[in-house]
Amino acid sequence: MSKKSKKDHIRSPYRISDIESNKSKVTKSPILFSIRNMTVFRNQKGKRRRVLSQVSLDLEPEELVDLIGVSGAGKSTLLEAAAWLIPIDEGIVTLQDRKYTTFAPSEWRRKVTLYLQTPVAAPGTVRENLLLGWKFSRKPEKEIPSSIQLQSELEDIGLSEVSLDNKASELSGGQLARLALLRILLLQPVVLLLDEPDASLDKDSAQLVSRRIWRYLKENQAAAIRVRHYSWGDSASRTLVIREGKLLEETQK
Amino acid sequence: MNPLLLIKTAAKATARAASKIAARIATRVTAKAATLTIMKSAIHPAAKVVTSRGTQVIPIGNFELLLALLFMLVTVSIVLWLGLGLAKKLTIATLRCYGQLLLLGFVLAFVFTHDSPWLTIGALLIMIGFGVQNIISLLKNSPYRLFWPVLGAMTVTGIPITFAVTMLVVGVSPWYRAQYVIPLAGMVFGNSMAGIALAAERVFADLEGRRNEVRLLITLGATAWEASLPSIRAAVKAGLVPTINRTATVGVVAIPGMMTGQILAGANPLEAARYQIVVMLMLAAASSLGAISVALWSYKKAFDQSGAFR
Repeated sequence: MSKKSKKDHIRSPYRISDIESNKSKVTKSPILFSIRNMTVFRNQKGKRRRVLSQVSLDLEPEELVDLIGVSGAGKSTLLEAAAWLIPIDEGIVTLQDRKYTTFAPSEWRRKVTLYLQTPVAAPGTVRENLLLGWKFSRKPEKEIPSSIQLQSELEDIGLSEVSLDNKASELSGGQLARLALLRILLLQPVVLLLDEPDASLDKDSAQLVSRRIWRYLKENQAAAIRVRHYSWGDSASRTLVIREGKLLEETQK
Repeated sequence: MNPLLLIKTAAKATARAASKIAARIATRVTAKAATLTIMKSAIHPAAKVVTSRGTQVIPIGNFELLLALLFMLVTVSIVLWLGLGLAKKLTIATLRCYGQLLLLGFVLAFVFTHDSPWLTIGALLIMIGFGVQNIISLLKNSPYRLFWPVLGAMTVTGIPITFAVTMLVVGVSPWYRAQYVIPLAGMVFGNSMAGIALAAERVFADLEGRRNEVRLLITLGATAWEASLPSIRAAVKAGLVPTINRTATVGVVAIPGMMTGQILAGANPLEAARYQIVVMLMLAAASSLGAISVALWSYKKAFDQSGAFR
C-alpha cells in the first residue's frame, strides 16, 4: 500500500495551493473541461477497432450538453474515456487546465464522475449506498452528510417514500436510478458524465431528475455531458450528435 | 430405467474414480514411503539405521508387486465387458503409477545417499515447477496470465513453512537433509497447491460476479484494492474452508495418510499422532497462506494500470 500511495504522490503533486490556483484559473478561463482530439481503440471480438476518432469537446461551467446517437456510435465509450475508465489512445483531456495524467486515477474519477448506464445497488442500505464514497481511502472533501440532509435530498428527487434504512437491492429500477444520481452528486464532482440517467424513469421523474441536475450545475459551477436516446423536450445547453465515433453536428440553442 | 444402463453408469463412475485414485496414490504414497523412514529414526532412536529388510517393515517383493496388478485386471475386465471405453485410460494410469513411483523411489534413494544441499534445493525447485504447472493447467480457462502470482505464492509460502517445520519443530541437522526436507516439502507444496488453485480461481470468478458493483465502486473513486476486497475475502475463504474442515475431521473417518504410513512402518500410534498433528497444522498453514498470497498477488490482473476494471 505504501508503495502505491508513493506512486500516486509522484503522479499527482496535489496540494491545497494547487486547488486555490486552479480555482483562480477557472474565473479567468471559461473552459472547465476539455477533450482535444481524443481517439480510442477497443478490442472487440479479438479485433482492435477504432471506436472514437479525433473527438473534441469543451464544457463551460453550468453547461449541460446532451449527446445523442444510435447504439454503437460511441456514446458510452466517450463517457468512459472521459472518466479515465478505459485507456485514451490519443488526445488530451483536461480539467481546469490540468491534464488528466497529472491526477491520480481515483482522484480524477472523483472529479469527473460517470453515472453508469445500468444503476447498481451496492450491498447494504440506502444510507450505506449514498455514503459509499466516504468508505474509501480517498475521502470526499465534504463532511459526511447527516441523516436529515440525506432524507431531504431523497425527498427533493421524488424518493420521499424511501427510507434510509431500506435495503438498496429492494428499490425499483426508477428509484435506484435516482439513488445512483444522488450518490454521485453527494461527492460533488466537477464534471458529471451521465449515461442515460432517465432511461428507467417516467416523464415526471425524468423532469425532476433534469431539474436536480441543473440545480447542481448552478450551485457548484459544474458541467455535465448527458447521453440520451431521445430528447424529452427539456432544455440542454447544446445537443451533440455522435455517429461512427465522430462528433458530427452541433446545434446551438 | 434400463438396468444395464444403470450398471454401466455406475461402473463408469467407479472406473473414473479408480483412475483418479491411482493418480492421487502417486502423491500420497510418496509422502507415506518417505515418512516411513523418517518415523523409524525419529521415534525409535535405536532403530535409526533401518534397511528395507529391517525388522519393522514387511517388504513387498517383485512377485507381490505384480500380484497387485490383479486388482487392475479385475477392473479392466469389468470396463471391457460393459464397453465403457475406459480400458486404455485405466491401463495407462496403472502403468504410470508403476513407472512414476518406482522412478521416484530410485531418485529419492539416490538423493538420500548423496546428501547435498544442491540436490535438496534442486528437488525443491522441481517440486515447485511441477506444482506451478499443475495449477496453471487447472486455471487454463482464466483470461489472465497467472504464472508469476502462482509461482510467487508457491515459493513464498512453501519454502518458509517447510524449513520452519524441519528446522524448528523436527530439528533436522544439517538443514538440507533430504530424507526429512523432501517428503515434508512435498506435503507442504501439495497442500499449498490446492489452496492456491482454489483462491486464484475464486478471486476472478467473484470479481466477475460482482462486475457491476466493482465498476460502480471504481467510478466513485475506489482503488482497485478497495473494489476487490470483498472478492479477495471470498477467495481466501474458499481456500480456507476445505482446510478447516479437514483439520476438524481428521482421524474421524480415516487414518490420515502419513499416520497410516508410520503405523505400517511399526511406529507407536501415539507417537505417529503427534507427528500427524504437527503435519496437519503445517499443511493448514500452507494452504491458507498460499490462498492469501495468491489472491493478493493476482487480483490486480483484473484491472488496468489506471485501476479501472477490465
